[in-house]
Amino acid sequence: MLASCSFLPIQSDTDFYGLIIGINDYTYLPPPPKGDLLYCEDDASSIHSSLIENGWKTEELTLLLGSNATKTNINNILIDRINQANENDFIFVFFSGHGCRISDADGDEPDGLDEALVPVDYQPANSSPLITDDELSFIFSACGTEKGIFIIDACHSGGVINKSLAGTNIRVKSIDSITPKGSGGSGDLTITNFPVMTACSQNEYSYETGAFGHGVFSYFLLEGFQNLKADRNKDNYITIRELFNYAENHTETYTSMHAFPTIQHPAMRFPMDLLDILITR
Amino acid sequence: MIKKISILLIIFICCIIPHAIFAENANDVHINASLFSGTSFLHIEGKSFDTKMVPVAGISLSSYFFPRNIFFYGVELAYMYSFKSNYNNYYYYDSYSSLSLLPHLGIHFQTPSLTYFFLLGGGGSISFSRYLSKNYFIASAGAGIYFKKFFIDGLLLSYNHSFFKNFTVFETLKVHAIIHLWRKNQSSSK
Repeated sequence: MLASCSFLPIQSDTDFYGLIIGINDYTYLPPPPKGDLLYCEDDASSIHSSLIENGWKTEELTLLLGSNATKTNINNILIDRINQANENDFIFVFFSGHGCRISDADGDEPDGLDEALVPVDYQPANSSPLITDDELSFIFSACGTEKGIFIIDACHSGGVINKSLAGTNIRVKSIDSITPKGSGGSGDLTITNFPVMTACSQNEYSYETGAFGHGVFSYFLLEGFQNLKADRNKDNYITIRELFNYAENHTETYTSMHAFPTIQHPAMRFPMDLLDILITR
Repeated sequence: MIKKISILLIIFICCIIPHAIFAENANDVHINASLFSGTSFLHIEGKSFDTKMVPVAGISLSSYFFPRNIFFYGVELAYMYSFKSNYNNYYYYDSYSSLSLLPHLGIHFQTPSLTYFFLLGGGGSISFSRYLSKNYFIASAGAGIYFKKFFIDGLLLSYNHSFFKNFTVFETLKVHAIIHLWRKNQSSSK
């Protein structure tokens, strides 16, 4: 019976690696609402603080904000973390910023488009500084662990795990004070054995709002961490599924009740049945 | 879930009716209840997840038909609760409830001190994880040995191997305390 006691000390040889990215001020994009974003760096900083408050150590986390979040930096640090992690280790990756889509260069996407994260040095006339889902898939293909989470808070981010809600009842209204992130599209991030969580579905925007000073989805992730609010089974740990359930429910409710142009439906691909992974320690 | 439970109950009853029909040609018909507990070994496919042991417990209702030879057959309807695993290495296998229907085929023979029953069975269970809010279908097959002279009406030691997508290891060992609810013994009535 002791095997089920969650209050027993955790025996572990797990090392933790985290990369947290937030970009407001894009070098080559116009100011908000047409280009730059307002609260992504706050999303990233607050996620960083929440993890520290919940047992992570500062040296386990790398925070890349604004001008430091270039494609080179993001890729180098991500590759470094992935190369360091062995099968028992935990990798946490968080991105808050623009997402976009470009024509598929290698013909592997059914919709003819590659999805991409937009680093700070992106130039509208030059797609090379983008980090495409093909590149992310290649980087994660070397990943030694299946334990961790890749969280993407960007418009149309659900497209990277191919969870479309096309045809559902999505209302479109216009509110000037809300800044949609990116222009997105559909596609696949072919990381099949690693959990991926996205702020919205393929055909939706991911919003940030001055009411929270955060992206809506990121805000509810943060609220889930706060005082273990997302701890659904009251075991004093927050797991990937618990955090997603909390943020998903609140994001959908909030965006449906506050006249956002579209409802935001977060999505998650979690390949393992009957299993959950702890984020807090 | 209630609909699925109803379907399993109907199937179970349908399996008992043939017993009643064929009982005239049988030495014995048994309907038993049992309380059981044991251990499950779980191991999901993947390089980051090891085998973890979880306690299980439950109740079952079974009916057995004994033709006039060493063979017998029957069916078992069982409810089992599988507890959550430990959190070592920062992951766990979640608790779940399952409702199983397992047809059995067996042989029985008697020694001076004990009556042995060897059971083989296969079937399926509907499993529900409340926290994960998901239903799963788990197929399983197993074997058991029944020691007639222990506890109330005997002890059954059973082993089950379950087949579930993603899982490389899903083994369950259980000890059942048997209680005879109803017995029809034709040979003793002669």
